[in-house]
Amino acid sequence: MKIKLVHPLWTHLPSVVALIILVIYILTTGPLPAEAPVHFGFSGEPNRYGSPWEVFGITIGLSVIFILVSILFDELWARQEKAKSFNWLSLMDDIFVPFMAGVGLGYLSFLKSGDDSFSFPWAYALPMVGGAVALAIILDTLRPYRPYSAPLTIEDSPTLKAEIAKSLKENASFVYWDYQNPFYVSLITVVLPLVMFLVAAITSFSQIWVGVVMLVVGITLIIPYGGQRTLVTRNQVAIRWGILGIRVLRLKITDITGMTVHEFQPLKDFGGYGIRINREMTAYYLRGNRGIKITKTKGKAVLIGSDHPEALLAVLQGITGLE
Amino acid sequence: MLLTINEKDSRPIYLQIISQVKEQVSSGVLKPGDELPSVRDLADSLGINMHTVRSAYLKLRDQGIINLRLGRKARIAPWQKTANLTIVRDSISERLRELIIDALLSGMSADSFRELVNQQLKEINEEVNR
Repeated sequence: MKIKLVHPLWTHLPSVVALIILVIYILTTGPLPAEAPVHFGFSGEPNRYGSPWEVFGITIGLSVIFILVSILFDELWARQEKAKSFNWLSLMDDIFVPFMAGVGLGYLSFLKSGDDSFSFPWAYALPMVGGAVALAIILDTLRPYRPYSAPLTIEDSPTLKAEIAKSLKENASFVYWDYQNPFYVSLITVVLPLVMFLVAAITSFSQIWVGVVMLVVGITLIIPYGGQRTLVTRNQVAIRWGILGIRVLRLKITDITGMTVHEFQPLKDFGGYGIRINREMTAYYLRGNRGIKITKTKGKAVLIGSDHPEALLAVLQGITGLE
Repeated sequence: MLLTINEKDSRPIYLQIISQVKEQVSSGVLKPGDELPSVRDLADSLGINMHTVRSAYLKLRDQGIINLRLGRKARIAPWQKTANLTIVRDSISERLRELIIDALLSGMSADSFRELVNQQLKEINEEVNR
């Protein structure tokens, strides 16, 4: 599958460079001691010993996660941009990663010096963060504005309606199938768990509970793999989610009182993606800004996100006979 | 994507699935890379056996219409441009022969069959070009 990023990847350069600097320093420093202080009290006295790789594993692992998450956030942000404006979100990884890298550098020089107590390495962290943020601000101002509109396909709605009518008349069984499975879902459900399992494996030697937490979170993250599927049959509308096909919505056709194509703003109206609830309705969507709003005989309205809302509307109208 | 299973249709269920998927690929409703429903979802919603759906998918895979791999979603395969033409020709001519015999047996004249073929070709062409 081909996806085109609206937010250019080079805006993440400062954090990637900071991470590369750390890795180069670790590799050129020579053999690390097998055991070193890895945890310190408030006044800098060591209170736990272990392999220094534990520290670097956590630092690098978290940094990679942060960069990936911020690529995702920036892309979501850029796709909803109506005019070019400064993206403060893009500074997120450019602050965190250089900070972690700076602390890593400070820790490295502490290991080399052989001192007894560790003072927090502001002298490394602050210049790294400062430099990276300055570069990131320049990069985001240089970032081109690319208007994004979700690809629209015009469906042959009258044909669909006619086919539904024919199936209903001839008592044939039918299913209309619609899905949303954007690339970022695969990213979150495959890459993030892998990184987490890696971190779990690295840390489990010394800190079991960190490993366990990472393992559990990693496994939970796999569940949405596969995205959202909407299945419309003669009797019901069902939405299934994720790798297990968990049914998150089941709506009887007889309970439907009306439906329209609804346009919405994911961040403003619902504060994100997924299964979302606001005062008016419960929404199920993974991408885009269009869907079908269904009102029911009882309870809140339901919003089903779709890449082809006209087709879904035609099918629902055909089945319910409502306009 | 809409799939209909009609008992009035004389063809077996798996053939109905195959022909509908093919039709939607040729008319552009389904594009390369589009996902198909899972075997279980389809069987449950249509009230048919999972093996029926699976055999339809396997046939579609053998004909190069969809990609089917263990643990992955069934997806529409990219268009094949360099299919082995003689083999394709042979299999099409075999199926056409069957159809012609059906038509002649049910009392259709050769001319009206030709006319039917031309009309269908024209319709499909229009659908593809739209």
